[in-house]
Amino acid sequence: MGMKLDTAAMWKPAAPTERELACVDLVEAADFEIYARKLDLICAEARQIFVRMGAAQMLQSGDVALGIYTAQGDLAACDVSIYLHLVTGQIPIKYIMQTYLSEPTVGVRDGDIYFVNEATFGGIHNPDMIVVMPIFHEDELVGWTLAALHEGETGAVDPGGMSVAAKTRYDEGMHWIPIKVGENYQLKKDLVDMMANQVRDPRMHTIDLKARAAACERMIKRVREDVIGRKGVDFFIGLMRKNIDVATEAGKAMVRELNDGTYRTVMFLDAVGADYGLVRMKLTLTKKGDHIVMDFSGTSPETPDGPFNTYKHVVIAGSAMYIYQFLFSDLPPTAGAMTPFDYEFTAGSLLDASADAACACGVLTAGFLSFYAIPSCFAKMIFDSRWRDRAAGMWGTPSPPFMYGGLNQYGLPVAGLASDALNTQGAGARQDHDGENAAGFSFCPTGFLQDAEFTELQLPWFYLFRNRHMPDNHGMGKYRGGTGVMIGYVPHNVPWLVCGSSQGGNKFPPEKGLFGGYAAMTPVAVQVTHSDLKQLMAESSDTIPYDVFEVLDKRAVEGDYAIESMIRPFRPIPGDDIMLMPSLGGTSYGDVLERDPQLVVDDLRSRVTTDWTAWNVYRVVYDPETLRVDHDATAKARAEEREARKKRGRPYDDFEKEWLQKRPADEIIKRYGDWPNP
Amino acid sequence: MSKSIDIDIGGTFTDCFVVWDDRTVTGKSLTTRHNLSLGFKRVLKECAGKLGVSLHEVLDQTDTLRYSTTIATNSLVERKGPKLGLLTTMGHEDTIYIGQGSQWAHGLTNEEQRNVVGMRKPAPLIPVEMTVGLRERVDCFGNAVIPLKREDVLEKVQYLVDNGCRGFIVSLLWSFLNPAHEQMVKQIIREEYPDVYLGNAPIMLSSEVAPKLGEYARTMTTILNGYLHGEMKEELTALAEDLRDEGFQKPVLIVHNTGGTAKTSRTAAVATHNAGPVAGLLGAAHLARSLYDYENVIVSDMGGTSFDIGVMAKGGVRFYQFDPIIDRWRVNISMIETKAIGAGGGSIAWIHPTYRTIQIGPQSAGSLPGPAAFDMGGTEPTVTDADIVLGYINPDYYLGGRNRLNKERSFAAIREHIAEPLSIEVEDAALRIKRIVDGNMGNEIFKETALKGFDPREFVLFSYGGAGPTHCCGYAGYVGVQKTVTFPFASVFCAFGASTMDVLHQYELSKHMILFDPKTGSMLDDYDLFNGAVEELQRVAIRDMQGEGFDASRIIWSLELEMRYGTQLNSARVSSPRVKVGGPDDIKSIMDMHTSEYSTVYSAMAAYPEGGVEVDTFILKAIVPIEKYRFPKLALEGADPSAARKGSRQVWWEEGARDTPIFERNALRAGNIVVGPAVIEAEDTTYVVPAGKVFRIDEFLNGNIEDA
Repeated sequence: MGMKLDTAAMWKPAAPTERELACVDLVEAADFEIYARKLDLICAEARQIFVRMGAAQMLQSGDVALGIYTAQGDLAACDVSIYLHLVTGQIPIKYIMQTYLSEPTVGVRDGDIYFVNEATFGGIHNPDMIVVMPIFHEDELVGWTLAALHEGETGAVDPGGMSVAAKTRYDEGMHWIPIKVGENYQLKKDLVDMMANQVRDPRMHTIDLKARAAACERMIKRVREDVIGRKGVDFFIGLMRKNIDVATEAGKAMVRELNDGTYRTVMFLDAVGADYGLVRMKLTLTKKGDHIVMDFSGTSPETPDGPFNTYKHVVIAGSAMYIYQFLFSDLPPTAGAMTPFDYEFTAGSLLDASADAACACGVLTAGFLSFYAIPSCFAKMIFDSRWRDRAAGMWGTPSPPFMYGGLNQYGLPVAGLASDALNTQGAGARQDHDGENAAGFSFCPTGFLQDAEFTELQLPWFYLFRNRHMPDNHGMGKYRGGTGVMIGYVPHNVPWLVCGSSQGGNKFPPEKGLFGGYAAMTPVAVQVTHSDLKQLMAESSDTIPYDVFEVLDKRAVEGDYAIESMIRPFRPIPGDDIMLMPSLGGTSYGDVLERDPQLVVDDLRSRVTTDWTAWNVYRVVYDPETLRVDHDATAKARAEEREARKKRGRPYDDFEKEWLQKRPADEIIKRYGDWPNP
Repeated sequence: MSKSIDIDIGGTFTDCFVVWDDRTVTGKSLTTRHNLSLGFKRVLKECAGKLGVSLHEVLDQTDTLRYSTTIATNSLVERKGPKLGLLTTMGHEDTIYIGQGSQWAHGLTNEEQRNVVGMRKPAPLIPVEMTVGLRERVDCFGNAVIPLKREDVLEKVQYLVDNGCRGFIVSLLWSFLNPAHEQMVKQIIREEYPDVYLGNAPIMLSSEVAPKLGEYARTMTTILNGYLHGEMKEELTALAEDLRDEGFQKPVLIVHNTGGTAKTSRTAAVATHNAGPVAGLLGAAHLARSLYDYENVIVSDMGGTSFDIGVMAKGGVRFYQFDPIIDRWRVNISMIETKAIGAGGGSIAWIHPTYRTIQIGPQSAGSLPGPAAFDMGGTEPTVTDADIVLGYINPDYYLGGRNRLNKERSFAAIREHIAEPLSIEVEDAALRIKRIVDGNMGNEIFKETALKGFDPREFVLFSYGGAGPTHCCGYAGYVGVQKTVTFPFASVFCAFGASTMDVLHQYELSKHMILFDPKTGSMLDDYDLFNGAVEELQRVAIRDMQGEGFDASRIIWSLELEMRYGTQLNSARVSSPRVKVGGPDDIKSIMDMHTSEYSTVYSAMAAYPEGGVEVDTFILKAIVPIEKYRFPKLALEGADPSAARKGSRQVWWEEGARDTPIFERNALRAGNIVVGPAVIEAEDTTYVVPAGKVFRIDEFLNGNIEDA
């Protein structure tokens, strides 16, 4: 039986200590302005060097988290990075403070390096590996630093860290609760070597571990020199507390202004493991005064044989991604911003799983909630407020990661997760603007798509296509979601490569558009085996396919075509195979018939939509040669469509009566819980 | 000493700084946007006159003429570039629109990046329909795995031409490693559209403009270069011809944003972007170190159109950007960082239609029509007009009296556009304009410095630019600095800064090389491979330096390597202890230097040589040092400045109007102290010293402003 920590009280800021209360008065307004920003910049600098030191694909894309915490373990400052890790990162620090600070065989001293990747102890899923290091001033522990990163390899049953085949935690590789892996600013070589021995890409693992520790060390150095050295240790302690307090008060003030009420949404997911099934996640959000409760009761039970389970602190941290990036985007992203929120879960549910549950893909479940269910409820709440511009469609998240393992073109072992599809998700539409195309990674919007050349330099494939928008894979509406990209991987300079992928939302989109807008399309995955691609390439043939549509529609490449979902168990693919996948588009805002026809033809011109969609969805009439809009004909077509909609409409009672008679096959709902309400 | 001329063409003024053996003279003239050489020649004649020699004699005897220009910046801001077509690798046509995904965040501050819901990607410089994909592919070893076909190129080029393409950008994957396909495209275009025809358009290859790993920044650098190329070429060609006609037979050196200079024929347009402010920053750093031994200096340059900020911290200009951005575009050149906002003497004051508050800029009246007081058709009130109304600027002594200003026009413009709509007095409106523009600038300095992790209150402020001394006491108050230093040549400071720059050429070559192979545990023993890369760059450097009149023996070589440990993707720039290698000790010394510098920049804990050591890029710097002007150190005289007093006039201050003493800047002596309130007039600027401040002339004749 795995260990599971009770994290219920660990993600909210602790009550200020007397020391903090005394110190906070030392921070004058002008100094706060300068030094609060300085703390953020210290984290930003650490992020920059972290990215430049590391090896994992997600590190190279900047999809990381760097933060500074109080001595009690509350988030006090951070870079614009993955808030998910920054919030859960409080838990291992608090655990260390509670358990090891006074433990004579362990203890906490200046220069200590702690490592953790155990989801039940404040991690997310075990590929997310965290290093925390204490900040000491003389003999006093005054704060903590954190550097976190999704490592693309854990020594699980499959390479890549997010094994869709995992049935229990014991299939998922490393599970390390907080452990001291270094002292006196030195990693312990025996432990480092032991960790490296557990994974398929020991070089990547080792260099990334070093990078995490070095990033923490940099933050400690800067805090000591530039904050404590100039303003004193009391000022530093007061500064962190004030940064938390400012977010607390401002957050509560904003919530207070929003309309009281109960807001509900439900979402369904088709991902439970290596095969299909249906599960439900339900959110009832109650807002009263300056307090919001998110109740996830009614969610399906834990899946006993699949890796899409997760833990409540992950869902809470997931909600922080929405809260910090959208709702409170102008407040300090500190622990204080979470003060107005409380959460309720059902023990043993998909979102509060047992210690033995597999959870390698649980971050996707939490991600769906974070970017679909939670924003959907908040959009309804803030629409009638002065912050209505923060009601935005959801990003195309989480996009399917492509995981790989094998030898690279230099004969060295590699294993990991390619971040192409993650860092090219389409953004959600806004109330006055389309979502940006291929905007980034919803978990870390400032992360970036690494250039194809950088990836091809290190890893044994080439991109038949990648830097190309995928038409129509976004949600359509008055303002459409941003579109994603199409990616074609071809193993190159090696005889074969092992690869697979994991993703939910394959059969139907779990998300919804906002205020009448549509969801984005579901992803399509294709593998062409035994292809003649390399021969076509050598001939520079005109039939070489350069996007998903050319592959699927024209079948220009000879070979065996497999059209799959994004849940793809690992398999070896030889050098003449093609693996295709998209990154996902964002959802939309408002009715498609209200979209400015000019925007539709602009999308045609920029290859983001198709003629089929322009007519069948948007009802826009235009000259196909000049792309000039016929406004009169468009208005007429739209009026006709509105009338047709009315004719298709049915009284709600009739619809509900029929709908309640429907029931999926038992095989589909075997992990759903009791039908219709778990 | 030698003779040199440095010219800086800004949006409003053209500035000149001339070193003539042991003398220096300065000149300033309005920028003539319709024909830049007019203003250029005007300012040269002014300097020649001050030296007492003819223009021809000055140009004939000058050793070095350096030139910086804002043409590139203006073209980009105004989106005035030509219609370009992009030819890239098929399947990757949207590289510049995807922009590494987070293109929306490029050029934004951390705070701006947090506003995820407000993200906007910038409007592209090349519309999607002007981008075409070619069926071709080169792999990571430089092998052409899909050969390029002529028919495909012809078809795509014809499409671009039919759609009005005025310049071709060619950027193919891995072209820096194997440029053959890009060169074939160029050759095919030239064959089909030879130079003899009117429709001939420039062709820019990414493998020539920016030959480094990373397709996005390489492509954007090439696009920016193509976008700016035409106008730059026109300007510089005309300038060179004019100078030749007047007697200057040596090559003109163009100031680069990388911190060096090179002649026109070796200058990529993209390297001139923001070169003036970079020159100013380097000049300030030179003065801070050589005259004052200051470690931390903020430089502020308030000109006619913009307000530029730069930071020298811990004794150096250390802000080469890791991932440099021009405008909103990521590029791959090593340029020095400065920040600009739209606040200058020509910035227009207006009233917000909704909030009824006074706003300043970013629109500028520029030099034509200029502020209302210029009497050249401008009717909107500017910051300069407010300074005239307040009595700071003497309308009869602007540019030493060469440009008489119409004070009544200033009054009328402020009355009509600001005072009457707000029902306030004209002077009150002018004071509000000054207060707002000073606040905008002060807050920007504060933010920029704090964003770099420094406390701006611990810095010395250098203020220059034509409007800098007039407003520095105002914006310094918002920054909280204790001392501001001004210079007698404040209005031509960027031109002075260029005079401190060495001739520096930087050459880069991406070449992947494994110095230590973890698989075999062996070090590189193919020394010719390493030396060949260096020699390839040296050949080009020697060619360029000789073309500029410098003998190869004068060149100082410096080699930097972009290196990384195995599995890392990003590399660290390392100063190589050897320019060439000849044995295992040399290789080891380079690896040791990598570990040493890596440990310093990152952490010793993170060093991982056992994982493999690789080189990605060779960066060769060829430097010919240029002798810098040495400022004479004068004996301090008495504090009394009365000998320089030339009268008094009514001046409006925060505390109200009062009769204020007026001093002549050139008549002040080292050691003199002017107690505020006072106005100090110079030919090219006006120093405004409010009550509570003193203006002290130091031993280098620079003006130090401190609390009384």
